[in-house]
This record gives sequence, C-alpha cells and structure tokens, in this order.
Amino acid sequence: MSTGNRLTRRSVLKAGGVAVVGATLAACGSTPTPAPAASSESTAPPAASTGPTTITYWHLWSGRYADIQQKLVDTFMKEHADIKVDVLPVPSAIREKILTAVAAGQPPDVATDGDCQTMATAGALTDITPFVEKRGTDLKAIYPILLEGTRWNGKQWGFPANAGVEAWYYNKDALSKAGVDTGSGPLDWAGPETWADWIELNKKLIKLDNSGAIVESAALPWAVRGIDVWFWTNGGKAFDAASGKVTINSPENVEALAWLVDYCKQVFGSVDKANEFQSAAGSAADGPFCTGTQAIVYGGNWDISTYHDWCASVKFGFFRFPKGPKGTDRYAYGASDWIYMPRGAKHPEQAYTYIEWYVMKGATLWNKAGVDLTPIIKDKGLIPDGHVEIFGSEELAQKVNNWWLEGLEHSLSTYNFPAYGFMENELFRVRDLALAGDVTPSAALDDAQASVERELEKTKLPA
Amino acid sequence: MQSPMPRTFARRPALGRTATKEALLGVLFASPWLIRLFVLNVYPILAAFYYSFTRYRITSAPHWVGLANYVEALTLDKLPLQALYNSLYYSLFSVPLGLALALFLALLLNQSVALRSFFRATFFIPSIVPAVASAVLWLWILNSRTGLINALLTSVGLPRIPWLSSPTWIKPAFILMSLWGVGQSVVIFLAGLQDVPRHLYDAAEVDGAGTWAKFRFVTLPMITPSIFFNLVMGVIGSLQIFGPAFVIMRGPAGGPKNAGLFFVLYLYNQAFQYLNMGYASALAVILFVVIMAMTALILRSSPAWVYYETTR
Repeated sequence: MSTGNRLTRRSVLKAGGVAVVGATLAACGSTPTPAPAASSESTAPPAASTGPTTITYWHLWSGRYADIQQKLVDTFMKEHADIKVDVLPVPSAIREKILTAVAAGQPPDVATDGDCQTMATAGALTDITPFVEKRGTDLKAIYPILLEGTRWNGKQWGFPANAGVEAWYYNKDALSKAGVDTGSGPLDWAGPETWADWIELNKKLIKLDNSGAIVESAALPWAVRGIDVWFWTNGGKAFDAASGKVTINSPENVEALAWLVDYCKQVFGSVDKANEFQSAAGSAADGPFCTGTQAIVYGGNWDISTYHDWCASVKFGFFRFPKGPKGTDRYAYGASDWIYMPRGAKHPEQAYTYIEWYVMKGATLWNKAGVDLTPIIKDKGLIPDGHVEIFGSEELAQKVNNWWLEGLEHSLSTYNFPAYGFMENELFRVRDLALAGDVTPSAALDDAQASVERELEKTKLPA
Repeated sequence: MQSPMPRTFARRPALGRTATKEALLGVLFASPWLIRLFVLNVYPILAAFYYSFTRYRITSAPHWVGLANYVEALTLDKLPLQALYNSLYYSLFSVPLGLALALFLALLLNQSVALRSFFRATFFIPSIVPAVASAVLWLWILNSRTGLINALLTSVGLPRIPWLSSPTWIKPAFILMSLWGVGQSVVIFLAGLQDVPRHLYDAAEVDGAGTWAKFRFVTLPMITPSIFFNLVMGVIGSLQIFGPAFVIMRGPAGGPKNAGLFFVLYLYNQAFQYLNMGYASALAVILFVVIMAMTALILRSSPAWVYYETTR
C-alpha cells in the first residue's frame, strides 16, 4: 500500500512548525516602514485608482462630540465624492496611539489632538506648508492666536480644530445676596476691574460654618487651565516667541504669583481649605455654581449650554480677568484642539483636502450644532443653536456670541511653545508650592524657569 | 598510565536520534512562548536599557547622550525623587497592612462557618474588579463632603478628612484603597493555612497551647512561605502603582504638591506627555534597580524567617 500521500505524524509536525514560525514571523514582520524623511516627499500624488480614495481620521472625542464628528465627515463625503473618510474615535490616550502608529509607519491620514507643538517638535507631523501654499489656503481668516499655536520653525504643522474662550462666570442671585448689583443681562456687569477689586469682591463671598469649613466659597483664581493667564494680566508672559526665551521668572510674573498667594491668604486663610471645598464640590445641578454656594467660577463658552441644561433657572453672566498693576488689557483665555496630518500619511493630498474643509467649513457647522465652541475662522454672524432660547432674543444671543468671540482678540497664544505641556505642568507644580508657603513666589518661578529651559533644550537636539 | 578524565569533564554522551528529535519537538512546541518571551519581554528590556542612554522621541532616531538622563533624574529634576518617595511610602504601608488584613481574613475564612464559600467569593470579588472601575468607586467613597468614609466619621463626631485634596492625606487614601484588593493574598494564605498539618495542632494542644500560642508557634511559622510570596509580589506590585493613581488624579497630574505623583505616573508623563522616551527609559531602569534591590533584600532575609518544612 502506498504511503505517498498519507499524513504522517512527522509531516503534520513539520507543517505545524512551519505554520507557527511563519505566522509568528509574519506577525512580527511588520517592519516599521521608515517614515518619509521630508514632508515634501509625502506631497506626491497617490497612485491612480478607480474608486474614491479612503483616508483614515482619528479624533479624540466621544459621546455627543463624536456624533458631531461623524456628521461632519458625512457632510464632507457628500461634497467630495472622490474621498471616503474612515472615522475612528480614540477618546483615550490618542497621542500615544498616533505616535505608535507613526513609528510603525501606519499612521492615520488625519488626526486631532490637544497639543500640536509637542508632536511637531518630536517629528511626528507632516509639514503642511507646501499644501497651504499650493492650495492658497486663506490663513488670514483664522484667528491669529490660534494659528500661532500651529506654527513652529517657520512651518505650518496643522490647524486649530476648534476654538474655545475661557473666562469667569458669575451667578447673579448669589452676587445679589452679597450686595453686588450685576444688572439683569449677562453682559451688564463687567466684573472686578483690578486685582484689588477682585480681592474685595471675593472677601464678601466666602462664608464659613462653626467648624471653620467653607459653606459658601469665593472664586479660586489659581484653578484655571494655565496660570500664565495671570502673568498676562500683569503685562508678563511665560515665553517670548520672538526671542525664543523662557521668561517665567520675570518681575511681572513673580508679582502675579505673589498676588495669587496673597489672595489665598486674605480670602481663604489656607489653600488646603480652598482645595477641600473644590474637590468635594458636587457637579451638575448639585454643583456649587448652580446651588449658589460658589458665585464665581471659571468656565468656557461651551458652559453656556451646560449650565442651562443643569440649572436653567439660574441667571448668570460673564467677565474677563481683572488687571494687575502693570496690566494693559482684560484678558480671556483662548484654547483649542488641533487637527493635523501625522508623518507618513498615505494620502496626503486627500488628507489636506479634508483638513482644509474641516477648518474653513466643518468647524463652523460644529459650532452651529450647539456645542458652543467658537469658530476658528472670524465669523461673527453665527449664533449657536439653542442660544436664542437661552438668552430670550436673537439680538442678545448675538451680542453674547460676539463677546466670547472677542475673547480670542483679548487672549495671548498659549501653544506657541515647543514644550507647552511640560511648562503648564511645571507652573502648576510651583504654584502649589508657593500657595502652600513652602517657597517664595520668586523661588518657585526660578525653579520652573530652570526646568522649562532644560526641557526646551531637549527639543533642539538633532532628530 | 594516564589518569582517567574526571567525571565532571567527561563528555556527555551524544543524544540518541529519538532524544534529539524529542528535544527539537519540545523546543518547537515551546516556541510560541519562547518567541513571545524574547519579542515582548527580553527585547523591550534590553531596548529600554539602550534608550536610557539616548534622547529619544519615539518618531525619530535615538540620539546618544551618555549618562545625561541619569544625571538629570538623580540631580537636576526634583520630581523623580519625590515620586520615588511617594511610591516607597505607599509600598511601605500598603504591603504590611495588606498582608495583615489578608491573613486576618484568611484565618476567619478558614473557620468552619456557614456560607463559607460565599464569604470567600465575596472577599475575592474586589480583586477582580477592573482597576478603573474600583478607582471611580473610591473617588466617591473618598469624597470629603459626600463620601461614605467621611459620612461615617462625622456621624460619630469626628472631623471630615480631605482625602484627595490635601497633600497629607492623598497617600493614606491610596493605601486605604489598596486594602480593598487583598482578595488574591487571602486566597494564597487560605491555601497555606490548609496545608498546615493537623497533627501539629494536636501536638500543640497536648502541650497545653491555647489559640494564640497555636497561631504564634504553629500557624505563623508554617505559612511563612505564603507570607514571603505575598510580600515579594506586594512590594513589586505596589512600587508600580499606576492605574488607580491615573484615574483618581484625573490624568497624569500628581495632585496637590505632587503628593500623589507615583513613580510610574511620572514615567508615563515623561514618555507620553512630553515624549521624552529616553528619559522615561532611564526612569524605568532606576525603578527596576530599586525593585531588584528591595526584592534581593527580602530574598536575602528569607532564610532567617521563612520556614520550608522539606528543607529543615
């Protein structure tokens, strides 16, 4: 009997061994594709194909915002039949995933993230300057402080994906109870003009119980997105983009931090007491702002809808930061997320088409969808959906919208620094030390100056 | 006459054909695990050592900087030592307290009581709850105004504790939280307790030993291997605390005055927030050395207090 075609134990083992080793090697064998060395190389047109080109888009939003992203993509695809966009929401740790994908040579074509500069200095992004020039993208339409955050080394690395303005919300009834007349409309009262006014106002707002615990709290001026906004209020800044120098320990900034420490002592007595109130404060309708136990809180323009949803009966208004002795303007804080093309994107032409559409048109649709983020482009004609109902008239809703938009003209750029994330964390670290009285404001900012300068040096090393 | 070759230098007899084939088959069958070991463990460990001497930002080639990362971590940057202190503090308290609680629970669960299996399962369940879910639960329990613990304290006239907002209380809060997950240690102690020979207790009783004496002179020595195992694993695990800290701190920040900035949290910041992968690798090597040193210390001390019935 012939055994020629029989499955023997040896042949099965051989086949199994080959399969195991082969599969393992295949799995490990996705040798990182070398990322394109120069971004200009990636501007080459893709190979001709018959159907639409599919690009991948990773974004960092979830829930309602993710739904809006899908609607934007659907709208884009209706207008661009030759491009199909595959959307992947990555609401957690998107930067790590983008970096890994770039290192593996398999990045998405387009992505959003919270920090463009860090990614650009790490060499993880495509320089889109050639596309901007080729397509004639109208950069002047974009708010300068937002655009500034996407430029580094004279190149364009992405665009703002949205814009938000942050300032101070006040609860009208709570302030009225403290004897402060704020008028009837959201913009009838401009808030404290100076640091001294701010302290006097907040002293009226704090109430303690018999045990000394806070039952009604004053504002926490250090609980903001970045404390460098207080530097601005005194004519200072943390980084001078023109000279490329870190200026954290300038006299204006030291004075600003010393003022925060002084405010904390005068109003709260100790920072622990203030922090305890803040960390234990509820949220939503039970939160201190809605219940009137904290009359002044920090927030963004998107909080208009949020507070309306949580406590529609609470009447509120907004004001910008007060000025310090050397201050020249009453600032707001302009913030943004970013949209960019990771290095090694497979379809750069189509990716840029999507990015440009997103910035010039998509973000405006997003704004209209009622999530209150301000448009990236200068368009004061917009009123977010739902705001007419909130403010009772189109005229007032328009006025409020314009007030927030103007905040972008009363803000400095916070992102035009290659080690932005590091700097903000360092400022928070030394702020805590100064507020606790462990170090003087001057020593705290000297410390931050040294560490941020060290970090800045790292971004200058050859790639 | 030439002396015969010492036995130790004698050439090993060649493997027979069958033995060779079986050895090859053994390697072949073990190969998926071996490949995984080398690709996912050995290579990354060696790579981390290499990257710790470089400035490496993941998406570009590493740039050799010698010992600069170590110099920065140990002399210039204030946070690694603070983060290491936080982790050691956490480990120093959470491990012994966890061991004591686990042993106490195991002793209770080793009794012949009704619903014993139910209680055993109940105490084990927290240790299989995902870290994020349990951290979110603890966020509520530790809320200084509305949390369960402070509600209990105030109900008996004690002051509220600012668990998560005070630099003094953050680490105790994490230690308290760690005690919730002692279920795995309880299981190991239970296994150890059930291995204690009955005749030893009988002999002790004949000698007039009471409950405490039996525990002190029979149970405790006999379960020292379990204590040793839980101690080593506890120290290694506690020094690498990350998940609960990341969730409780709502991101990579370290809480007031960085009192809750644990070492791995800071390592994560450097690697993925600031993209300093070379520096983060140096931090990883430093943590590796610390864990190795502590583990070696425990291992060296073990002959003095760990009793293996088969070796004495």
